[in-house]
Amino acid sequence: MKKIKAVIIDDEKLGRDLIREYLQKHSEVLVQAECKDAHEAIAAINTFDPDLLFLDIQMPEINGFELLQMLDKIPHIIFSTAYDQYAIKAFEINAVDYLLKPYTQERFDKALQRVKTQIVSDNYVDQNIIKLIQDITPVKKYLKRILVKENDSIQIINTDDICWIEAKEDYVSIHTKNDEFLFNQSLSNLETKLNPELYIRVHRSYIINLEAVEKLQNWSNNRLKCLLTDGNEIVISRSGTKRLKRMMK
Amino acid sequence: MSLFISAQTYIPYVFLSIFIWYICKIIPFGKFSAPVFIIFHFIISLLLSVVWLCLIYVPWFLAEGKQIFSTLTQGNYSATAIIGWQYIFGILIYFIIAGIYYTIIYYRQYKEKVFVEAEMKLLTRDAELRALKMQINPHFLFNSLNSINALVTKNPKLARKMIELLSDLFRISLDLKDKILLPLKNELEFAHKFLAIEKIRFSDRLIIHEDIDSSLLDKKFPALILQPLLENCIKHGITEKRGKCSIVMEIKPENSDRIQCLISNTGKNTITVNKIKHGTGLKNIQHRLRLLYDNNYMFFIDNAVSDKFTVKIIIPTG
Repeated sequence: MKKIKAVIIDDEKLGRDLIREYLQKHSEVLVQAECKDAHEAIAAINTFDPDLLFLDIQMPEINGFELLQMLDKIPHIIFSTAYDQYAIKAFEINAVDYLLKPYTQERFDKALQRVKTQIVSDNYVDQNIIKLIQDITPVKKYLKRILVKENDSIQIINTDDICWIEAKEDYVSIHTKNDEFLFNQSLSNLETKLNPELYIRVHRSYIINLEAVEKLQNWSNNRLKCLLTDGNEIVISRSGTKRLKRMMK
Repeated sequence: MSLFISAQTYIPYVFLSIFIWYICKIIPFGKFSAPVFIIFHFIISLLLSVVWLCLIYVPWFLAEGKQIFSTLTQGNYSATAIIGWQYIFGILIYFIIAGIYYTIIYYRQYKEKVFVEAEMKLLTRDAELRALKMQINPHFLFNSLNSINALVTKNPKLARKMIELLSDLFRISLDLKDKILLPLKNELEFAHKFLAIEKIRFSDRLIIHEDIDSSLLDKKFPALILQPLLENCIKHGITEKRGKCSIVMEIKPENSDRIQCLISNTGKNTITVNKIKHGTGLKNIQHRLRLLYDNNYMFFIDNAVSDKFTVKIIIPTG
């Protein structure tokens, strides 16, 4: 029988040890990696392409849900959490199974059994988990940070640090004071997730952060030219100029 | 004019004053608007004055008949004038007595109010202090239990140790629940149990430095202040950040009559430090210190150094 490739993600060593121990009697599960945070997990998931994740929700910097949002392909997941009413509510709503710490071998076996039957029925992706991930997204009203996956690592961009965002074909390029990041999302999509009082769509292809504006200058055709703190200059479209003037009032 | 000054004339008023006392009790000051209040008392005073005069003259009249009027008439004053003036005088006495009574009633109420207010203040302070005190964080509890669960087979001895620590922690927290001040050594014992559990959970990720002045161990210290501060350190240094975290706890005397308590945590913070919102935990502690010491305390938060978060408290030695 084909082995089930698994990755254990938990920030506490004892938590990972426990899963290892519970897995001893399940020889068909092959643990390929143990990760203590989302950064390690992204690398491990890219390397091993696991069938199953043991995923703790509370982790430093990037929590379990945020990690899932960065995955292109969602493996089967056994969630665990100690006490997180928000997460538990999300699981309940979307009928996703989860383990509450501390859990017994029996409870663990039951969760694993469910996943095993799903894996056997090949190519099965748990729709409930997909729904859960979509549900989890609008946690905060506006994004406070953007997680950008770069191969095997995760970059965390604080939205405050963004100077401007530029639309490229089917992704955007996020410019901070010293850096540039490519982010796999459309400009319009990103616009809706940013605080409209600070991040203004000044052009079909640009969003600027008002706090990063150093100088505004009149330009031809009733337009404005904007000098940003990172040294870049952007010519703002006429409709963008109107919008900006309205904002500055 | 002898009737004006003769004591007998006023004897009926002694009885009437009891009546006035009840009137004053029934119509407390400030219950009605001022004009209504005055008109009411004026009417009562008119009636009472009539009663007073009746009490003086009716028995006399019954005994001596019309004779009394000639007895009353003195010099230029007719009997009616004298009775008229006495009537007005009776009204005045009524208002004087009512005034005295209201002063007494008001003073009594004032004293009671002051007492009740002081009592209330004390009660609310106690209630607030109790409510603000830490309750064991459920997250901490369940995670600790999960760690014990993992240790049971791997390291049963350590598992037992952790069960003991966790039970001690709860027992002490129950004991401390109703305490407001306690000797520093007891407060430290609680903090140590907490740290010992966290040390087992996070092992070498957590480094603890401690510097406690032993002369302070028997001094009074506010209950359940250290543990929430340490929990805050763990939260910022371990559960929200990757890598190691060292926690420093220093308690020293300051200016002979004060205690300075400094708790800090390190941990490389990849999320902008100045964006950390001071959680309810810290606000809570500040609130409690204010309730306890009024303004006679200091509470500083220092996160100017990018990878360090420090809380400093200076309180009077109790």
